Amino acid sequence: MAAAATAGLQTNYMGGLLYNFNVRNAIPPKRLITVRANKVEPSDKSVEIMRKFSEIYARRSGTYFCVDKGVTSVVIKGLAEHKDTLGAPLCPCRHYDDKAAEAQQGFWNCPCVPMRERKECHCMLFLTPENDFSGKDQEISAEEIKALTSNL
Amino acid sequence: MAAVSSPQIGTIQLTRSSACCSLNIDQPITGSVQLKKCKGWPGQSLKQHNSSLGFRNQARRQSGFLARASLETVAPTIGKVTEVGKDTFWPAVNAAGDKIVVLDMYTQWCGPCKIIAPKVEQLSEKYSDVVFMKLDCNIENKPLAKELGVRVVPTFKILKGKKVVKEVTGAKLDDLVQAIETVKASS
Repeated sequence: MAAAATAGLQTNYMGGLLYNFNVRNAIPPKRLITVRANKVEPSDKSVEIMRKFSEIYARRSGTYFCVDKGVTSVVIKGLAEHKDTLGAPLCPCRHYDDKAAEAQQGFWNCPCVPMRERKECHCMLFLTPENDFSGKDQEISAEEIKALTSNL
Repeated sequence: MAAVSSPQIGTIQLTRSSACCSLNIDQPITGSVQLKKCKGWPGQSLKQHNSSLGFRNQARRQSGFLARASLETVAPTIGKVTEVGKDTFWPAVNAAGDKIVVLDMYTQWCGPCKIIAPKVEQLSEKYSDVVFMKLDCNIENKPLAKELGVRVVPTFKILKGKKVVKEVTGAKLDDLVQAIETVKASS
């Protein structure tokens, strides 16, 4: 009985010590495992919306995607993720105190004001032809995005 | 009454006249270990406390409390970029002592961050006397990001003497190298 009690108190499904819950006034154990913030994946629908937007806007603005399409893919997914969570494609290359308020305000919603006014995109999504990192493409397929972000 | 150390590794039994708690560690723990404060009910001795909890095994009165071991202590390593969080950053900075610390603040879906990350890894191998860390500015680490201050991502914070002395915004490797050299020269 002693061994059983000892064994039972030494193991649980989470690898920590268990209290006997049937005992009156027992203190329930706190979680032993730290839950880390999960890496979030955007929905396919939002990725597709932002992919099409990026192609259209690149053509309209006379800009090109980065020579490294991995950058383009990551940023498109970042825009999609914000579209899922905030309802608007907030720039993924900035940090915000209040994302919801920023999305509402709109300055950093893609295409952001610096991009619209001066064709400045620090995310390297839309690059002017004279930019060293500018490629020749204004198109990117869903398959490319998936392949280039699969290891993230 | 004095504390008695048992033959088992890591087992300390404190008598009821002291903290009234005991810590059992079955195997070595590499991280920091926090002793959970074990308060009996007021006025109770340890023996009464264990009885009131209804332990069937009276031998368990030696060790009825939870040892919570935190494995979140991060020892910064030279030659690579160490991932830190809001709870491990400042301890890691303290552990770095007098060394210069470079912190790469990034977000999950920032394209330029992905471009510059491998280059920062190379810098960490080149500057063996500098401690390189990276922080994912997600919702979990938001308090630290706010404390350090970040708008553009990536942002590199350079710390000396546990204080931020320089900052580089954007994925500008040359600016980062120049900033590190400047801080090194000023020390």
